[in-house]
Amino acid sequence: MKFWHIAVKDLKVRVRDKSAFVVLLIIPMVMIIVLGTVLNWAGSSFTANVTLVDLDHGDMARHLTQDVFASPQLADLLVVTTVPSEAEARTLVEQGKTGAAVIIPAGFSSGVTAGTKVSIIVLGNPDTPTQAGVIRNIVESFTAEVQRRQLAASIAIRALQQSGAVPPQRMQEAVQGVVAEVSTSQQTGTVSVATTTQEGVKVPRALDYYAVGMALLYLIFTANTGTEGMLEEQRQHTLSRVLTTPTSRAQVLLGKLVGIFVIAALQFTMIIVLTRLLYRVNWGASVPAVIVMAAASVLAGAGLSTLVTALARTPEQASSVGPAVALIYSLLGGTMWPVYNMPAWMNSMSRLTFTRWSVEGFTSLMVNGGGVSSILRPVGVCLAMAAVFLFISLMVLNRNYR
Amino acid sequence: MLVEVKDLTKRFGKLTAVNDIHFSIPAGEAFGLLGPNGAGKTTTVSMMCGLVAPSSGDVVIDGHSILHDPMAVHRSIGVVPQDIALYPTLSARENLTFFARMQDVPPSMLTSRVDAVLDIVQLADRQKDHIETYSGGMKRRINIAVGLLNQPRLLILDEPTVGVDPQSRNSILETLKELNRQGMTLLYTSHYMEEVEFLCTHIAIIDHGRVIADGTQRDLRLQAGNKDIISVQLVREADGAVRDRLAALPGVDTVELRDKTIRIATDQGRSLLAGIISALDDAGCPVSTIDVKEPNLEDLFLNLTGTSLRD
Repeated sequence: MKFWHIAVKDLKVRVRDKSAFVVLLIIPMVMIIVLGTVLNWAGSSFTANVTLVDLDHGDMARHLTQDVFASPQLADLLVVTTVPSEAEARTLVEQGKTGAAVIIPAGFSSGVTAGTKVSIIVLGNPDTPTQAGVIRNIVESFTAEVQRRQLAASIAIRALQQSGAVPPQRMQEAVQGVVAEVSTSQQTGTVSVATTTQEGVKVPRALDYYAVGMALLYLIFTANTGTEGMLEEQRQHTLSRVLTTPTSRAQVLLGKLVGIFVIAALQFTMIIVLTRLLYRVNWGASVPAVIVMAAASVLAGAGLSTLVTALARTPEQASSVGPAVALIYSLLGGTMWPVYNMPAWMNSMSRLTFTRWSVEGFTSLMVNGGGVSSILRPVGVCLAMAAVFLFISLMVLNRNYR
Repeated sequence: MLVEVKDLTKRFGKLTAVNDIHFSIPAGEAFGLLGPNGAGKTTTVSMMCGLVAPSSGDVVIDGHSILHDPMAVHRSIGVVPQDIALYPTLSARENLTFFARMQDVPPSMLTSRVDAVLDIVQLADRQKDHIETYSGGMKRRINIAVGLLNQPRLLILDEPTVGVDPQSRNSILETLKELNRQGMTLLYTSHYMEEVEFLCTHIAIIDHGRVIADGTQRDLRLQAGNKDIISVQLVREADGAVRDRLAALPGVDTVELRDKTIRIATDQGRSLLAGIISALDDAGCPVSTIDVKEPNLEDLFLNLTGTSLRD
C-alpha cells in the first residue's frame, strides 16, 4: 500500500497549489467553448466532393447518378459535380479539387442486363482518403445490390423453367416480367439508404469534438505537471530520501502513476460533467464506455509523461520537452482538428499517438452510441501504449541508478 | 561489527570518487568520517544507503549486504541527508507521518513515533506548521527527526549542520550525543573538525576518495606525532636553573625559556600542570598565566595532506 501513501501525499501537494486549479479546469473549459464556437465546421457535418462521369447514359447509370448520388438522403453528405469526360475527372482528382471521381463506362447498363462482367471506376484522391473511402463505399454498396438482384432474377427464371409451371410458348413473356419486376425493385432507392448509415461517416458537433480534444490535450498537460513533480522531488532530495527507506523504485513509480492517474481522472471527469451541463456535449449513451475510454486515455497520458520525465535530466528540461510532446500528440492525434481532414501521411502517423485512438473511441461513442464492446480496439491500443511507456520508463530509471 | 565497508570503490567515468575504502563500526559507536568538501564522504554514504551503486566492493550493515538485500539494510538504517529533504508545503507532522509509512513503522505505532521524534527535536509545538514557514535550524531538526522515526540501529548523518546557526548546531550535536549515549550507533560525516571531535569516538579521515587515517581521537593525535604544548607566562624573567628544574619533571620532553615565557612539550598535557606550578613556586617564579594547547585533527590533516580541512 506504500504506492497509495505516495499517491495521497502527491495529491495533498497538488491540491495546495492554487494555480493548479486554473490550469486543470478553468483553461480547458474556456478553450472548449472558444474552439467549439470559432472552429465550428460547416453544418457541423462531414462532406465529400464527388465527380461523376456518365459515359453509359443507360438505365443503370441513371439509377446510380440520380437515385443514389443525387438522393435526398445523401444531400447533406455529398457535393456532386458532373463532368463529360474521364480525362476531365482525372484532372480534377490530380488537382485535388475532388475527393473522388466515379466513372461509369459505356455499355455498363446493357452489360448488367445481359449478365456480363462490367465495372465502375472510382478514382480516389490520396490526400483525402476518408472522402474517397466514403464514395467507394457508396459505389460498392450499389454494385453489391445490383449483383444481388441479378442473382435473384436468374434464380427466379431458372425456377420457372424447371417447374414447368409456365408453358414454353409463354416463357419469353414470363422472363420479361421477372426482369421488369427486378428493374422496378431497383428503383426503390434502398441502395442509397444503406450507405448513409455506415460507421465513420457521421461526425460529432464541433463543440462535442473539441470537448474530447481539449480534455485529452489538458490530460497530457496535467500528467506532465504530475511527472515534473517527480523531478522536483529529485531536486529537493525527497525522492532520494524515500529510496533510502524500504521502498522500491517500482513502488515509487507506481505511487507517482496512481497520483497522476487520480488527478487526471478527476480533471477528465469534471470536464465531462461540466461540458455536459454547460455546453450540452453529447458524450454518448453508455456511461461505463465513457469511463473505460477515459481511464485508458488517462493511463496512456500518464505513461507518456512518465516516459518524458524519465528521459529528462532536470525539471526545466521536462518543463520544456513536456509541452512540446503534448502539442505534437495533440496536433497529430486529432485533438485540434479531425484526422479525416489530414493528409494521408499525417493520418497514418497519427495512429502512433494514443490521442488519435482516444479521439476515435470517444467520437464513436458520441456518434454511434455504442457500449464498451464498440470501443475495445481504441481502448486496447491506449492500454498497450501505456504499458510500453511505463516499461521503458522503469528501464530508464533503473539505468540511471547504475 | 554492525557496519563493514569492504573495499568500496566508485568511478564516474574517469573520475574515481571513492577509492578502495574500508572500515568497520561496532554497535553503539559514534563514528566520524572527516574530510574536506569533495573528499568522497557523500558518495560513500550514498553507496552505504543504496542510492548509488558501487563500482566494486560491498557494504554490510546488520548482517545484510547493500548489494544483495538492500531492503533489509534500509530497515536497519535512518538517513539524514546533507540537504533538507522535506516537502515544503506539508506540515512537519504530515512529513513525519509520510516518511514513517515509507519506513514500515507499524500503523499502531505511527502516532507515538511521530510524537516521540517531535519531542526529541523539540518541535512538537510547531508540528502543524508547513515546513516552508520554518527557520533553517528548525528544518534541520525535522530533517534529523525523519531519520529517527524507525528507531534505526545505525543513524547515518551526512553533514547535518551545514548552514545552521551556532545555537541550533549545539542543540543538534547535544541531541545526537544523547542518542549515542542511549545506544544508537552513529555515522557522522563532516568537514567541521570540532563537531567530529565533540561527537565521535572513532574517526576516519578521508581525502581524494581514500581513507588516509583511521582510529580513536587519541590514536590519531599520536599518529600526528605532535606533543601537547604548555605555555607559561611568568611575572618576572627566569634563569637556567628554573628550566633545568622543569626539564627534570617526569613526562616533560623539552623546555624552552625565552625572557618571561616558558614553552614545555609533553605527551601528558594537563596532568602535568600541578607539578609545573609547584616547581615554579618552589623556584620563586610566580606564574602570570598558563595555557595548554593539545594537538587536534586539523594539525593531523595538515601533516598528512599539506592542506587545511577547509581548503
